[in-house]
Amino acid sequence: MDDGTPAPLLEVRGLRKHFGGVKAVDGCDFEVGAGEMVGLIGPNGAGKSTVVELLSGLLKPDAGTVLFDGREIQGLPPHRIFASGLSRCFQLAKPWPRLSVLENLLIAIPPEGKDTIWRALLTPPSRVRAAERAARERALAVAEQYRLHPLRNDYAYTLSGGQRRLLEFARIALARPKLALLDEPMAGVNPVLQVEIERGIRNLVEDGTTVLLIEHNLGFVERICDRVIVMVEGRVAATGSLAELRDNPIVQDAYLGVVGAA
Amino acid sequence: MLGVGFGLVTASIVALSTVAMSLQFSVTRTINFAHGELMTVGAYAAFLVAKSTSDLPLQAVAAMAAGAALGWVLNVALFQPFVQRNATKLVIFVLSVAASFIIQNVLQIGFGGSYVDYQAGSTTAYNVGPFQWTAMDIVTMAVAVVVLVALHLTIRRTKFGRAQRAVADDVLLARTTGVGAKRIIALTWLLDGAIAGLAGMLLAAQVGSFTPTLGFGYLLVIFSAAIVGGIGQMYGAMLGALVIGLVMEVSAVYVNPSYKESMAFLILVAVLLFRPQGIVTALSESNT
Amino acid sequence: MLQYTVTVCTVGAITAILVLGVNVSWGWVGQIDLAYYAYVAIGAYAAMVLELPKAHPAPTTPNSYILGLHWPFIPSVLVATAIGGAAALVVGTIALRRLRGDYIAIITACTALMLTAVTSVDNHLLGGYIGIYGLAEPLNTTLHLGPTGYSYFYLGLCIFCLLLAYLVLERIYKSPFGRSLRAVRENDTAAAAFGRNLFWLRLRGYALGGAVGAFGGALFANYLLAWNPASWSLTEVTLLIAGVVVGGQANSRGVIIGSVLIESALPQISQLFPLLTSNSTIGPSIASILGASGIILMLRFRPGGLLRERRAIDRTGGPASLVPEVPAVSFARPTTATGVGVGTSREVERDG
Repeated sequence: MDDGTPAPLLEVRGLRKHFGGVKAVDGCDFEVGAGEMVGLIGPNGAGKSTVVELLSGLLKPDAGTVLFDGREIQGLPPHRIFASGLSRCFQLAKPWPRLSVLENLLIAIPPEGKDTIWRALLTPPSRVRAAERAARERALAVAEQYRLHPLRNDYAYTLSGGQRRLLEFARIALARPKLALLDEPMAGVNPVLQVEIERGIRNLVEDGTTVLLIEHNLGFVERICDRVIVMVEGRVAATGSLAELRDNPIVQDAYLGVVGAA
Repeated sequence: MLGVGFGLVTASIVALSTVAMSLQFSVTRTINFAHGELMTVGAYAAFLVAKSTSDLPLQAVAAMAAGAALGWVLNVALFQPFVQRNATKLVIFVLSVAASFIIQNVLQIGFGGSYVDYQAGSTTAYNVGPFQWTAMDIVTMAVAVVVLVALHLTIRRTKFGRAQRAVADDVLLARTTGVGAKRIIALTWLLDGAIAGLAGMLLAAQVGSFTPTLGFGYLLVIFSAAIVGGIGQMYGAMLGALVIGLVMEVSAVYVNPSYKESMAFLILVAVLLFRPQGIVTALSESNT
Repeated sequence: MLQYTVTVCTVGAITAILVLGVNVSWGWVGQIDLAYYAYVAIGAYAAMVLELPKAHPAPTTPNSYILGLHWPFIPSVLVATAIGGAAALVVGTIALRRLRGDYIAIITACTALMLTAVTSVDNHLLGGYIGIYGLAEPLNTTLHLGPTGYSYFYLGLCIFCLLLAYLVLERIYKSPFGRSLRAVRENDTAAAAFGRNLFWLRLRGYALGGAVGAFGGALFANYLLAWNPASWSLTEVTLLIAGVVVGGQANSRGVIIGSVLIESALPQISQLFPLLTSNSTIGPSIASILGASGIILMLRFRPGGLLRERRAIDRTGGPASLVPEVPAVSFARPTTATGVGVGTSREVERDG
């Protein structure tokens, strides 16, 4: 990022979050450039998931700044962070269970303007119908893309784990964020669906979304990511391509041979 | 000073009931809207025993037994079947509201809706320092202190107390580490009912006559004390009860005593606006 | 007999409006709102003090009330509705600050009990225990109808208002706003992660419920022509909640059916016990016990209620490549699972 390219999309400086005595994130610094596909790896307990919670606003950092798209977003509530163009998927998929898959998708489309009672009542019916039709078309197109179309009228609680995961991606695709944080999208997913999800992530990137991917499966990270950030004990230990990092002693130490095995 | 004296007596009763509720809440995470009815059945049990004997300890035992029995029934017959089916908080809460109404109306059918008189202990007044208390006032405060200290020792020093804290921290974890979570929850309901029943008897003795809505009418005060103290916090609950009890009785000296309960609520609103986590910082920020 | 039917239908229509309001906070947003009856009472009192002329307390009847503006019926009802919504906004601002269901339940219960205490005790605010009475039949100064004719007229008015409330609420339910509310209910963390401001959404939903309650309360007061603290208690709210639970959470038609079933069936059931109804205090107790037991049984055996919540359904065939497999996959899936009602076999639809 020092070769005269424009400022990075996401710039994290000195991010810190302690839980009692546990230093989950302890002075974390990294950057993600626009259009990049970056992997965030590290051993269990390195603070990767906490970073996602901090960036998406579910947790408030103790210290540090998060500069996203030129604005400081640290400590803002989740809905404001979403509005600024950063969205995330959950490690444990969180659909809205007693809504249909279609409704799940429609909710992910950011509302145009304010989402209020007056607007619901006073907008002329023709415009309501037109807006609803447009939203449905988009939602169904994305459902098709993520193989959810046949399930569109089912309650979300009836979906399998893998299908829920696809729904998470479809929601993010509809939200069209500038940056998507994907927290272990492959965890607990069968191999067939893993292919679908990899395709889903590539779809996101093709649509112009920058991706920060947290993942344990290093083979997958190597296939898909331009660059990886290695976190150890709440700090960034190294960054670079996975090929370069394989020989890095810090990384090898942290992974205890896991890198070599991958 | 008269207000402060009354306040300490009221605070003792509120503290007993609030601590029982807090204990139950911290272990089961269930908001029990029928908590007031535990007090009411305690009061009616004492009232029935008082018809044949004026022996106070016997009446207290009856009140505690009735409260404990009701707590146990609520848990086994009502809450557990739903908890096992992963019912939402909303459902559990609606259940407790329904239970509260059923119990109140059963009592209404059994005892009628009009006031019954309950006189317990001697009304001889004593001057203690600046305060003036009846013998029953002093008994009430002494009972509260003894029960709260005993409860403190139970929770801090016994195996049951440790197990209870383990369940309060994490039901799943407690189950996997071999703590009989179901048994602990059942015992907690028994304990909750017994203490609340005792509080109900003491309250009935204070007010002298009561109806099937005795405990329900006091629910606001109990909830206020619990939130002011920090919900699910046993020691916070004691402090909250002290604050609420004092404010209620002292304010009654200056404004219309009918607003006593509303005063408790005003304190609650103030605390929520300025220190929403309660006076004592809340245990955990569990989201719904 | 006919007059009795008119009475039952009028009260039924008003109850249906009230249950629609409860359904907003309980059904759509999933909030445990126990102050609902306070908004009903606020609407009733507000409409009355706006419509009545100034109070003239006599030495024999020292109770009086505030305002007494002698407004006409329609603006009074509208303003009463707004006042109810505003009151809910204030209570909601306090209760929803901590985003926890437990707090909302407790604070709303406390609010309701406190408002009852204040209105009962203060003799010069809203007439104390005696309440307010002596309202003239609304609009009849211009209509000049006889008692029977007027009762038909008011029944028609209530049914019109019910339809109005139903259509307005259905429109909001289907709008993006309604969908956002349900997303907050289903999983608030995910809703926040997709840009929903939890506090504002909950607050707006809460105020909407309060406004509907006040609207129903204003109509009720204008039917009874009197209102006092005993007119409305937590018992009535329990029956409304029972209506929501029995009818089907968040389904407007379901909750109307549920509430009408409960309100009309309970008095009949308690009359089946002639021995008990001879004692005037036991009848209502039996009704309450049956209502509450009904809630518990319903939650246990049919947690979704009579009519299932309606979800958005897409009936277009979808992309050509998928047309053949769509009906088989999307409609034939069994929808039995824990925590959600199985509902009736009637397919629910909500087409755009």
